[in-house]
Amino acid sequence: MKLKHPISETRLNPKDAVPTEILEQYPWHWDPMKPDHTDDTHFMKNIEFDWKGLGDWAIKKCNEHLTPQKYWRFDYEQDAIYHAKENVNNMPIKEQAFMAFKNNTHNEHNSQYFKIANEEFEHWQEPLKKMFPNLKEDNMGISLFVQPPGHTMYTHVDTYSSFIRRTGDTKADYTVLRRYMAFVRDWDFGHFFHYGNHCFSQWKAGECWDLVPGVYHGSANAGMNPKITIHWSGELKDAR
Amino acid sequence: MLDNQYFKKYLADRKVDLTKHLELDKLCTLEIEPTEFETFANAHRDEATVKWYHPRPFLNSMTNEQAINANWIGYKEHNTTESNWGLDPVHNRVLKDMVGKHNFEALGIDPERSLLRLLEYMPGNSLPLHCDGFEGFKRLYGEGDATRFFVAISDWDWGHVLQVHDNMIANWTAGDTYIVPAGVFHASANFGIAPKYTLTITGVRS
Repeated sequence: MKLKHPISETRLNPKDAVPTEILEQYPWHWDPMKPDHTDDTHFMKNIEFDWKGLGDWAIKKCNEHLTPQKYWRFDYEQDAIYHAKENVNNMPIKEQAFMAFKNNTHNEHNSQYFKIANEEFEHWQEPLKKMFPNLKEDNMGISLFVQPPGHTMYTHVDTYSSFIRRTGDTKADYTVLRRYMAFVRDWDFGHFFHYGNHCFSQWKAGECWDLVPGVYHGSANAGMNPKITIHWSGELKDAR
Repeated sequence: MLDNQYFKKYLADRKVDLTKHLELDKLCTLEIEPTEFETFANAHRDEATVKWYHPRPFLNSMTNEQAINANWIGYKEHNTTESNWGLDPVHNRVLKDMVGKHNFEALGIDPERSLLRLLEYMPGNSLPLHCDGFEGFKRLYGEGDATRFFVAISDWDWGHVLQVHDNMIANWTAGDTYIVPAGVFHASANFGIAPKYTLTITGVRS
């Protein structure tokens, strides 16, 4: 299968695609070879919960329609990046997504995932919301991602596009936003997640990490079971 | 959604148990020049073997069963494509010269009875969980107690990973070398934005 574009002869620098305000507010080392980093120090807590119940319920929910709602696609005619059916050229993720998809090989066939969010959690929503009382309840977002085998989430810095979409804000104030992530199932074959220079493994369901803004991260599933993670995004109550 | 019963049975039949730890340390760091390999790949791109993970008639039944199981759960051309160089005898000779005699000595294998493959995985592509069949090596040199070495060709970059049983291998320096033991399941992925270059060396250790 011949590539449709030449491979970049110079190293793409992901930092170049990250919004300036994130780089300024959350300086990070941006060196994949830095050994003395602290990227592995953001573990928060083990959350006691019926993770098996939630994971099994989520898979059943996905099986009701069988179609991953989310994927990324570059449209060369429009010079536009799409997240599922939405053109996200006006979102702060644009430049990072262009780097991964335009003249690169991430595509709609290797970036799919199922998403369950907010009220779609049904009876799970309230107990999940209560897990992070430090986040404002009125605009907190909770998303569960089921990543099927063979799919990846390209390395990126969070830009909180879903939060912006949900709140209707024209711009995110990254100084007050936080994202937390927990693993819904134990680590399995082919389940990859790196946060900065820290590559996770051997995780247990319920392990929760503070995904501090500004740190480059991504994930992949090269195994045979779905990889399930859950994410809370919102504004800190005591930030302003 | 995901009919992975065949894949799971395949592993269960072989008593593959992720909860049992496999001790796997870095073997050594070979002295290589990363840019030589990347330049070679770019110069010989049109001669690369480009493949994706699926059954093929010249592979053994074990390897093909693994590929069938993987294809059944969604591994396909768009997420498993690999370019490699080394099956061509001329390429294999050039790659051996680039590795150099001193590095073969460090590994304890005879360069004249070894098979090298330079692998390029572009972003978004993975090599699904599998164990090696050594078919290419056996075609050239017959049955033998071959060892498979993984050699990192570039310094580690974000999104470049290898899992060997329960060992996560990342943060490597160019030249870092690990043995992937025969019969041990492993997988790799590139979810970064730059190509991932690695080298496999297969040979019989003296």
